[in-house]
Amino acid sequence: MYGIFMESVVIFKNYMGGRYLAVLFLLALVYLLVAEKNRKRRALFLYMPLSLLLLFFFPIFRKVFVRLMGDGDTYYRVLWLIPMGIITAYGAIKLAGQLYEKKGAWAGRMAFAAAAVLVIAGGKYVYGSQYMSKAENMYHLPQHVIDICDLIAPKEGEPRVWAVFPTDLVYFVRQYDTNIQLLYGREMVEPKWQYAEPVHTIMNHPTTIDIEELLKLTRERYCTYIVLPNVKDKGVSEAPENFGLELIDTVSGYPVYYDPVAAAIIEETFG
Amino acid sequence: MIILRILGLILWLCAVPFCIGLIPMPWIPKEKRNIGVVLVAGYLIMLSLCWLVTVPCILLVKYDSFLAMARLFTIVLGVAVALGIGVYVRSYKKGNPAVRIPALRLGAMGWEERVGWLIFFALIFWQLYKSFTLASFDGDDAEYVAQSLITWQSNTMYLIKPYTGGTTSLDIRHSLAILPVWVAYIGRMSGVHTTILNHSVLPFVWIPLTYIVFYEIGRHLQKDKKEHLPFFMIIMALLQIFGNVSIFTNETFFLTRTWQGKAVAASFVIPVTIWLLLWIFDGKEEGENGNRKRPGKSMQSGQGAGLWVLLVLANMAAGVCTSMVVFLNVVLIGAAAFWLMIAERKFSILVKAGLVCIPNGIYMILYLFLHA
Repeated sequence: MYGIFMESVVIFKNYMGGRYLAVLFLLALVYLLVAEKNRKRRALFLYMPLSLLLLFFFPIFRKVFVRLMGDGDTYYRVLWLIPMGIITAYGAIKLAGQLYEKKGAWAGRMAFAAAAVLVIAGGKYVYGSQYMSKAENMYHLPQHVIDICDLIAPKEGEPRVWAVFPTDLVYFVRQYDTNIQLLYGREMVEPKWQYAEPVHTIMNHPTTIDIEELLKLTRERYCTYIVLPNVKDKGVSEAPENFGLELIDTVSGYPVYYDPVAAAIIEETFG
Repeated sequence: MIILRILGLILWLCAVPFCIGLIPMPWIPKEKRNIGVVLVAGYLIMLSLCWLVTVPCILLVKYDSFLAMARLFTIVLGVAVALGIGVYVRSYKKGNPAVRIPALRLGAMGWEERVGWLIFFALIFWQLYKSFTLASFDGDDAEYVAQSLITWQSNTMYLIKPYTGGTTSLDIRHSLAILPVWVAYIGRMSGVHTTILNHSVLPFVWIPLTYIVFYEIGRHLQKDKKEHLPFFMIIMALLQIFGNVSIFTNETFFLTRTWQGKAVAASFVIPVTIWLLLWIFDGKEEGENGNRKRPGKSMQSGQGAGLWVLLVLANMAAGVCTSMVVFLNVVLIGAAAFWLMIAERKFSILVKAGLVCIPNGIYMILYLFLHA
């Protein structure tokens, strides 16, 4: 039980990210404990959040959650139930309002400004996140992925195609066109899931892609398009053209190949 | 073509939910009816209807289940829109209009209040601008966004693996949280690619809707000091923009994964639940020292019934977004009801809260049954 409790403590710390927005929330709670006289608001903005916080750290609740959801990694979402933002804003404005009335306009303004500055300084700017980048198009997908997909996507009425893409592109392909099917997708490239897939193992080799081995597997699986990793990042064991591949184009450093041998196998097998 | 698509988006994302949102308004206290509340109610009803239509289609229709869903949902929405317009006309004739257009009281505002609102709207504009001009990378989009596109392009629901395209037996884990299907439906009706919808259009829906909810919460909390409301809203907006203290916070989800079901649940459905609890239970007049007084006039005349219905719909909308929040919303409502029961010394609050959570119970039983 103690171990589960300590895990919840770690989850809470990770959720708060070591910034002091949590402290602001706790200060607002303490202030409302003293200043809020309305019993129903006390129930909703003091007792309810505090009991949910206690519940979060309560090991049996965590056990029930994991049993029901079948997943302990998302336990942090219980913290979404605590209206931290609303309580922080309400506490800050209530304090600023009281100072405004009792100590004068400037005291109220200063309290509000201080609250705003504390939020800015104690938080982290969401648009500065490493996961944010300038949108290249309305799809918000990398433009080179769209260009590659446009090269290989089947025309209207044609059957879907199978393709292999480098690890860094697999996330985006099927967000643009699901008529392009992948031999491996995101589930294989997430390290935390630790799945193994032979084509991905070859494509994910740190320095060189063994083209012969790769084609053995892709042709077995009727894959007609192969997009190799950016030429800057990785080499190949032999020129793909030696094995019958045709280079359609190189898009932003990614060579895009068509495999007529695989196309012939499809023709022979399915007519 | 582009103009037609924009008009289509306005129709399906603004006009339709607005008309549907008129339905419960006569059962909501008069002073609480406004355009924002109608729109939020419209989305709650539309998403709930979408679940009621989609899940049977997923479970019972073998081929082209999305086609069946789209046809049925269009009919249901058409009926709901007609009903909403009918309710509006009837309530207008009775002198009890379903929606109140608030007068802009610019003249009555002091300079501080005006500056406050100006700063707040600038912060909203900043969030909308950034949502359009910045791309946010999230691995879950490979499942979530692709799911909408598969539905749109293949006319099937949850039968194709989103990551690769291979066929699969019904994906039970995700098939009850059908927000991607709703997105696919909007894409089909408006002709807009679902990935553009998810990444570039829907932030213009979910971000304003969330702020409407925050506004209503703030308006209620500051009802005696309306001049403080813009400052409450500024702090709320700053908390969203600077709430990225980790990748786990609801604020981070709100502005980096706005279109995903879990983000909608965390930033819209849960605040809606808190807002409705506040409206329902804090609607009665109360003295500064906490003495209980008689319920307000509107609550006495039974106009609060619509709020309970909206709470039921919020629970159903949670199920549209993500299965987890169906369970979490029960915990939230249960905790709130427990403390409100003590505050009001009324056991009936707990009973009512239990009744409101019946859809969650049905959803969880269905979830467990399908998983078994």
